[in-house]
Amino acid sequence: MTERKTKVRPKAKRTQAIVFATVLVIVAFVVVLATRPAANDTNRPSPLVGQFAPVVTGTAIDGALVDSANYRGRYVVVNFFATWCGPCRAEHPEIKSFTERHQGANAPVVIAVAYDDSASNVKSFFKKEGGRWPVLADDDGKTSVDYGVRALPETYVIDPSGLISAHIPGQITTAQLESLTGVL
Amino acid sequence: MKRLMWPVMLLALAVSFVVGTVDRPSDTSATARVNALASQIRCPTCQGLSVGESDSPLARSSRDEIVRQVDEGRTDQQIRDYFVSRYGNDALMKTTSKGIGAVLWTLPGALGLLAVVGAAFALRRWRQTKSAVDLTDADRELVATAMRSRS
Repeated sequence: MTERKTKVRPKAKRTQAIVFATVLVIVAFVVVLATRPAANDTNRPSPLVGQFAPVVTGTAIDGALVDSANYRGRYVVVNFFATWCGPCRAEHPEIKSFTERHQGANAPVVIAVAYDDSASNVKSFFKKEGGRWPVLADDDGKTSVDYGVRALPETYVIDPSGLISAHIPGQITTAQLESLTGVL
Repeated sequence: MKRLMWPVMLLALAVSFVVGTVDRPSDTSATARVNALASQIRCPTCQGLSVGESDSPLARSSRDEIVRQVDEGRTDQQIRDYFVSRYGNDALMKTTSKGIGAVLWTLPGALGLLAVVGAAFALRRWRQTKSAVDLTDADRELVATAMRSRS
């Protein structure tokens, strides 16, 4: 009785190798595409972290002149918000608590930037909810684009040397602010 | 002549790929530049739309920023770089040719080229095989004789 052996011919082996390699490349391609964050993902890390912070300057809604560069040597919290944004309204008491707990010459400074909102809405919101930090009206959106804002609220922390040390997309808490500004 | 056909076809494919992906010189008027740049920069809050196509507040602000920077005399590349420095590589509608973007650009082209080369080899082998089994007049005569003897 003759034993039949299944032999894989060299040509078939080569074809198998080519098919395997091609499938591997396609799978790798799909995995790379699938694991990349979407372009409109609001939780993407900001490329500004570790870079010098763009200057936030202008006349606040209460008439005071604001320039983030004047606070070099202190932590500066730049909070982008709008009164029509639910999470922004929800985080307001957290920021208020943070500013009330940390006051003094070296305490962190909070600067709010109101995007796509009216000064009258912001004024009545602060009158009702409280809060004593300066609010700039970003009417032309320049400051928001300068900071790469995607969705409100967004908060950036600038360290005492002027570098952006943190970016927090979404609602922020007092504990987060205390931890990121080194006052815990 | 036959030998030259495949290299010429591959060259034509490579040239068309390069021509299709390289930026063409654009109209230099300020409005045309703003429109061209707005079509290249991705709306940060939309799905697959440029800031030129979207009417969201952030898209409007981005267009204003483009106008401002064009007025300040910045080059197209500087303006694109500005948006990339704020929003990352995905700020541009067209993926950059750096890092993972380079893979995304070159891989489909490389696979296409591989497929063309593979098809060329397969075609060549198929032709050789076909010529190997071509019948001679003697073969045909033999078959005809066999058929006659059966009937």
